[in-house]
Amino acid sequence: MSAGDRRARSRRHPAARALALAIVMAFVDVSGASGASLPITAGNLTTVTRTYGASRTCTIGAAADSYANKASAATNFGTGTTLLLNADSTSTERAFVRFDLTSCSPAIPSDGLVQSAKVQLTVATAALATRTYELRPATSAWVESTVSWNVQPTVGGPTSSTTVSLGTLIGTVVEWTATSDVQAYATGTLTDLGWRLSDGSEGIFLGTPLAFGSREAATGQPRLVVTYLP
Amino acid sequence: MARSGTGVGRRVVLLIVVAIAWSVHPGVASNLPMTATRIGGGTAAVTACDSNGFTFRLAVNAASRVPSVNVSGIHASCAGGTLRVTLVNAGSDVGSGSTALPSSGFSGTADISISPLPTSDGITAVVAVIEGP
Repeated sequence: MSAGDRRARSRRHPAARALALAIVMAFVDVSGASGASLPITAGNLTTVTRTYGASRTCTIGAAADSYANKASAATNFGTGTTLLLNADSTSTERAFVRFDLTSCSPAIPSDGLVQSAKVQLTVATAALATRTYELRPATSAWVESTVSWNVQPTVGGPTSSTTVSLGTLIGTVVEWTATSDVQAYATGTLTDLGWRLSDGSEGIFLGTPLAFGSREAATGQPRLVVTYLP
Repeated sequence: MARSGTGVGRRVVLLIVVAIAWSVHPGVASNLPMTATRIGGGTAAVTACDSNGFTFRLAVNAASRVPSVNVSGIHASCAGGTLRVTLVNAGSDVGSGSTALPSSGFSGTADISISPLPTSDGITAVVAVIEGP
């Protein structure tokens, strides 16, 4: 048999034709599977963006303030021109102050972002000792004309503390950071009931009071300075 | 003739086996006709489970940092998806977090813990993405 005859037979062999078809199908299957197996599936993708507006700063005067004295437990000092803080064990003094955040314009929206909030009080008598005073949010309502040592609001944990040094002069502005509380007031997480200011270590022997101006004072009234993104 | 035909058949079978083995060898993958048209030929429908937007409420801690974000107003059809929140400052990511929205009993609200904690004065936007369900 010549070589040409053998090539002709091999082309006509049934097994060869069947396997040739199989190999062709194998190539087709390999190439087709490459595209069919791609993980392209339908699905949900939801995107929401909240872009804040330009930064605003709002300075608010106190809507209500007063202080309480343990030695005059039933007395209200709502009309006084000073707010007194004292760690003395027998004449402990605490101050209360509240601001109306709705007076900011534009309003601080519930989905806004408070970047900074500071409660500022102005020293009305020179400090006679170095003391640390803390700011706590009131968690129950109080009224300027009725709050007293016997009728005080409940309060939360300290929001911040600030130390006033011996010799701090009249007119010095002392501030407490209240960013977390004001953000909570804005979002509704906390109800805005104002704050209590008090000595961080009450109950000492022979404490000396520190006086700040109240909203009834001629100068140096309490202020809340809020910087926020509406 | 019968012996000769069997010999040709064996050689053909051997040739075919070698050809198949060669064709599926990984080294040949680059020769497969995977054109852009074949790979990208399909389409995928991507839809949103909520079209009305969300409300973001950021918590601020005593250190004036943002530890968490409350996201509300999420449509019930988003239940079972994954919510991712990113806090942005002038185009840069400054904190992010994610949570799986429950498939059943979903209230439409989710709290996301943020890490790292950005300062509240270092955020200009909030971006939320829900993947799925």
